[in-house]
Amino acid sequence: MDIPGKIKAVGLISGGLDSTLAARVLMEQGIEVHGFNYATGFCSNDQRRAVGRPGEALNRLRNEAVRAGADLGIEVEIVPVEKEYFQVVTHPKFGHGANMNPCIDCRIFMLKKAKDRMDALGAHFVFTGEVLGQRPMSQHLSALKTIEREAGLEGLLLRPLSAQHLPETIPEQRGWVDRERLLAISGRSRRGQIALAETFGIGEFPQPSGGCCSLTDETFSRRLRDVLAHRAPFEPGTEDSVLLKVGRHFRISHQVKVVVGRDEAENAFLARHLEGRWWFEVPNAGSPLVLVQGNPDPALRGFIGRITARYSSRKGETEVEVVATRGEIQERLRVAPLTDQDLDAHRI
Amino acid sequence: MAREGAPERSGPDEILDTVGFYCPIPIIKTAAKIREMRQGDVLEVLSDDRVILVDMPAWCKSCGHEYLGHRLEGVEIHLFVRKAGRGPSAAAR
Repeated sequence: MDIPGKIKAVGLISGGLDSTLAARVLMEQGIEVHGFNYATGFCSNDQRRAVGRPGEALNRLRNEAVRAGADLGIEVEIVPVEKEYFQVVTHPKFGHGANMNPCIDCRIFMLKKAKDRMDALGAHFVFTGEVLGQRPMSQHLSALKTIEREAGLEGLLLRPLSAQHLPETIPEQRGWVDRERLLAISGRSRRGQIALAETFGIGEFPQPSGGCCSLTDETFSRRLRDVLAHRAPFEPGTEDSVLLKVGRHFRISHQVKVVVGRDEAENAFLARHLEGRWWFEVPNAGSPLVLVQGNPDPALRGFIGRITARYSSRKGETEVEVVATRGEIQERLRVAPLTDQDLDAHRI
Repeated sequence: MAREGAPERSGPDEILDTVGFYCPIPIIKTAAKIREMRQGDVLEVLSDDRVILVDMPAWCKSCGHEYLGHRLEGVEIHLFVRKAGRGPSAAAR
């Protein structure tokens, strides 16, 4: 046994149940845990918060990594990595999952960051809440091995929840961690984790597990691909990301797309982005706020007016007045609402 | 103006304006700011993200800082945190 004083471990804490439990299992062994959470700019919870729908329970929108830190009694440091991470999203070495989710590269990216923290803190190893066989792309055995190797953490990456299914790591071999007190959880069922949470008195955790990443969302991914294909300005981690999640999106030309608010909360959110942009609405009617990205010529403005009319309460009329505004400029258009058939070709 | 446990005192030692920023930016900025402050100092954080009312107390609990409460001014939330833990004490200045 080789025990070099206080054992320190660096963990990736998403705030989900698994990473919270993994940290707790190690803390039960007297290990000093340092938690990190990397903010990628693609958390759907963050986006829901930005829109701020009234009536949505605050607890459902909380930052789960912060909540996990409070439960564990440790600071989980949130580290912004949006721009760097975006390169991983656009150029993943191991490809995307079903949507724009680069799950394997994402894990490697975050574990490299954790390794840097391990080195800086003089910690002994890194841990995660990964569970063997839980996720199809990144948590099968060969993926776990690949991730560990690519992150430069061979032998130094402990997965406490599935450790007994996995080869012994250096922390176990050297007696820094008692393997017998680690776990043998595998698969997609959460029964084992929920039972363990009860044992530890951890009552609040997000349901269902995971699912906070917008990149796994089909609609969001389609819109992000559209942004990339048209080389539209996009800064991850800003409200550019939130705009992809809000409203109905239509690509009108290579340079121009529109976002149509679906309710008052979305209209209010879009209204915060009017500066320097064209925006459309139907006066004296139930109307969406239609925000334009790009600079539409008069013909395109007419077309956008027709989209606006289609989603207004006057969509059944043959001709509708629409107001188009950009700063001090204001135009009044009389247009026929667009048909759904004509719209579908532009829907993103 | 609504109050909930906001401190009745002369004023904070530092003010951090995070209005217009959403999760997790206010917490990241708060953590960075408070690292520069002295033990016992009070930080006032301004935010218009209502979920900060859940996150800030939780963050304080995780770090050991004292959450002193908040005050509402229109859509702005003013939250007060007293720094605890390591570092020089404000009283020692």
